[in-house]
Amino acid sequence: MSKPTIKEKTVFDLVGQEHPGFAVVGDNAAVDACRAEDLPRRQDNCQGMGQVTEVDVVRHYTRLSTFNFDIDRGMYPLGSCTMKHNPKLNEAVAAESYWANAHPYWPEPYLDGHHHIIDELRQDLIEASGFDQVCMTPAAGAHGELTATFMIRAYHHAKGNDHKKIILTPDTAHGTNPASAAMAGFKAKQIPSGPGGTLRFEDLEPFLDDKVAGIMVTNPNTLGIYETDFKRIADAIHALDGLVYMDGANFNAVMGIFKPGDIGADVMHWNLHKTFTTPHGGGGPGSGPIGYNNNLAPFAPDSGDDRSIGPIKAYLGQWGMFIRAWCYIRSLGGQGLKEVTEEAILNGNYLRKGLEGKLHLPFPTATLHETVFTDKDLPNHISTKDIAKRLIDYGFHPPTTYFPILVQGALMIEPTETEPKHEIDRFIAAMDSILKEAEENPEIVKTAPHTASVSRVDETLAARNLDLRWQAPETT
Amino acid sequence: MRPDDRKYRPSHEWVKVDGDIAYVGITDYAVSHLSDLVFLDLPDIGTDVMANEPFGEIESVKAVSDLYCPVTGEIVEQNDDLQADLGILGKDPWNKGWMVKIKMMTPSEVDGLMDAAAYEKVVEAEG
Amino acid sequence: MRYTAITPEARQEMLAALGVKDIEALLATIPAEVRMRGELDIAGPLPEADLRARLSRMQSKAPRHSFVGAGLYSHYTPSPVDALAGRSEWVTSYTPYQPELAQGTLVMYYEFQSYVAMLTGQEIANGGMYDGSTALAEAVLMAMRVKAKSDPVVYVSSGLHPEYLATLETYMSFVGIEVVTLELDAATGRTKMGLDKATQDAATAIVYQSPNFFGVVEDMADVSEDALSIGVTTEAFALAMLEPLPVKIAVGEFQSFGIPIQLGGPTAGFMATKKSWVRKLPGRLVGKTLDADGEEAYCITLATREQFIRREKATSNICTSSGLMCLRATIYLSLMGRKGIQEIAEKNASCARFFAKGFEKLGLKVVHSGPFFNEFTLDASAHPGLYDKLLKRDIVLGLPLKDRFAGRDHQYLIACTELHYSDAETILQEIESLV
Repeated sequence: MSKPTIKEKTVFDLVGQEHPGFAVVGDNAAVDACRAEDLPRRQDNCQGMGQVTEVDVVRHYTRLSTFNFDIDRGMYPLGSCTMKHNPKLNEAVAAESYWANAHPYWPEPYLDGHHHIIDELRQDLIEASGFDQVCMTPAAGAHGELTATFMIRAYHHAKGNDHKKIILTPDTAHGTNPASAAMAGFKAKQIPSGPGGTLRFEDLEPFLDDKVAGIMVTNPNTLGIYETDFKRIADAIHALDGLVYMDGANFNAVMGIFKPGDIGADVMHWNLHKTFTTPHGGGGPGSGPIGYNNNLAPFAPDSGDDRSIGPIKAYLGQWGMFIRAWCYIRSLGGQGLKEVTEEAILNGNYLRKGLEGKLHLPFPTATLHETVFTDKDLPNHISTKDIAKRLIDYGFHPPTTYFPILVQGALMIEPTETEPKHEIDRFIAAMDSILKEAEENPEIVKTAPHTASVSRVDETLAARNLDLRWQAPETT
Repeated sequence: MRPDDRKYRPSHEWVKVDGDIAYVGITDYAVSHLSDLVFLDLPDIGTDVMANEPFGEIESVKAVSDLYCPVTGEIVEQNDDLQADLGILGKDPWNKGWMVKIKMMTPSEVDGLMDAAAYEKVVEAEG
Repeated sequence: MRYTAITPEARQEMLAALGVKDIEALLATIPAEVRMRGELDIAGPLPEADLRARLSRMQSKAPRHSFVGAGLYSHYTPSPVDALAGRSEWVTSYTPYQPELAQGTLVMYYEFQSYVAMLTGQEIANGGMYDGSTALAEAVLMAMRVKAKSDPVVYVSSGLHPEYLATLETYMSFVGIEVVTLELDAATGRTKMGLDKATQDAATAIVYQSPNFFGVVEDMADVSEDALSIGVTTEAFALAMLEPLPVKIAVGEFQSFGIPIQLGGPTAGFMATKKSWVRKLPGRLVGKTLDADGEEAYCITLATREQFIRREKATSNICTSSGLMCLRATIYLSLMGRKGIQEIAEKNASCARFFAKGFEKLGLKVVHSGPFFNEFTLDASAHPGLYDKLLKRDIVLGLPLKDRFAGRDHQYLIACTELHYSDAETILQEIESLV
């Protein structure tokens, strides 16, 4: 990637064109005779929208696309996001007309195939997680969290325990956890992690009282560390009739190794776009089915029980993602999914080993699929942001930066199982080279990137002078 | 040494009293830690505010901080110049950088706050 | 194993570098008592051709002609949309947290926001929601933030899509807002407001859908200008033709613009409002700025509203949204242009009228006298067996309303699009032949 010679602006800047537009169907006089004379038309005639040629549209979106970095181009080690190879097979199947164009309100015989796939996928998720049941509907991981926190509220309400208002979250939690809890009407309380980067039972104890409705824990956590006290914590929460939510963002390090439903979790979401290779698509669509035990089953959106929380979205869920996840799971089978986990962990550890002693490691504890380093002790005030931006010049997407929040200057690196050893070696070598530059030529690091389509973007200016949409230039 | 004509909260707000009116702002230390300020959200005139409760928010590109009220009372004025140019906070947080004027309900509340010397120790401890 | 990238040799080298004998040694932190015993009982692995053969065997048939809309509409997707949106650079990238490596996606979101704002007649829009139903629920949550001291009630037109209403009710039950429905006028199919101005203005929000679920275009003449009105649009082509709704927050669905129905998901929800409320908006926002060389650039902005910074005080918990679907809609709109979408909208409206007239000649009745766009409610009591007869020929005569609504026993919701346009006479003749 290098600075493009063509500067591509927005489609609205392709000015001065008055193309007739893309013709979808020719005229039909009999139908046109039934013109809707009874409806008033928009007075502005959709002004502002462009009218450009097909060739211009094709070039515009092709050129824009080349300003993106993507997994098909190279390693994209965004920790916690699990950017792994997206199989082409999934895309080819999902686009087939039969699967893609079905309407949820068609009568049954037309949807048999779809329901068959959904049933199989549901069974596979149950088998991989140890939960009793699965609800497929949530639109994304955070939406699954929301569904689950609604169910937790309903569970306590049904027992007359409306005073249970506290949801505990460790300080390593994804921001979605406390945000979901708050939307369900809970008060989120943060528990500090111990010195080893895990949630220790003794740190939790002071928070345990009758007001606790539940706890939300990512396991392995966002530092890539298995929460060793998970089961003990779950038992203590259950003793208060609280519920245990496991954030399944890191299910990539779970499959075939342990089953959340067997170790004390009551409910969990999956991110099909993380673990099961549905595409991330520049920010979605996700798909966030949830698994839960029978104690929560009456409260599920689709339970049919009068204690159900009710629907959390129109229609059945993200079908387009279900079919992709099904293809992925069938391509690998149970043994293959376990190998995925193992190799994600092997890659995570191999990458960690390659950077240990070079970057500061805030927690020495053994990690699984991802590791968090920091920018502490780097020479010449080089920051995490500088390293991230300089990695771009070496042909990599930066890792997740400044998350988790409790780690100052965090660099969270997750290679995933689909990176070959030689790519990880190349990443380590790039990091070695950047650290050398930090000593010898810090300026080149601080002003990076030098090879992307733009240089460092001024995010402060964007927030101060909000420009959120195209406006026609004022004519005088 | 920071101005000793006023009192401080450990969360880095200052309050300066003029009769029954309290001027409230944030310290130079807070400003330097927030960096790249983009937005100040203040309560409308006429809003009742409580001592030790959040009364507004200040936003930088990557963070949002609550502003805690040093005194109880009613908002009588906002600093419109500051809303228009947050850069003032970097240049003069003590005078031109005041945020709100509060008509105090219990002026004696101010006595319980830190003086400049005590606040200095808070800043030193935070490093 | 397919998709994992480590060869047996590389695996040995990596284990040696780590100083461990096997991968098991890397799992030492996981207590033995929680480890799974045995293998996962999940079918596979299936090689690619076998897998596709299995999928082919699972496929049942599809209708020849479907008049089902009801919130999800079958429109033609021009081939450039699939070709462009299928590029890996769009498909396999993520949320543009690193703007220098995501200018493509960022410009696209900026264009999407612009299109939504233009078509809804609002000042600003966000970078998309999961879908229309959750966009509506989030809009009412936003109304609560904008109007903190309102009565805890939201008045909702009975013309709202029933699944949107049910979703809204779920969300509202957890924030203590009562959902009260406003009846429709049986003759016109339009919402009867029936509330005085003071009651409207005090409410948290008032929700109308237009065209409403039964196809009728609302006029909203009795809705107070000072109320926090929310307008829902599920058939986005209506936006291309009709005057924007006079509402404070516009939400809905862009599925009609180049996004396959996919059994209802994923689609692309939208939300638009006035600029002064920008900090109350949920979801991603992309803004235009400059880079270090002073050149035009784009980035995510006002992220401080979002969960990864503001956590429990965020405007929503939304993280991953509907990027790829927003991309499809954006490309679609750019390709069709102003004239293109207006022409399709006209053809949709004409087509619906062509079939409505055709059905009326057969003795069936359009139920509501209010104007419709491309969808209408049909009373088929004159020919009770018609739906089933047509089904035998793989023609789906819309959505039967009898199981969803009391008093609509022989009613069907019929959507007509450009897909029925060219062969309209032939299709109608086939239907006539069965009456």
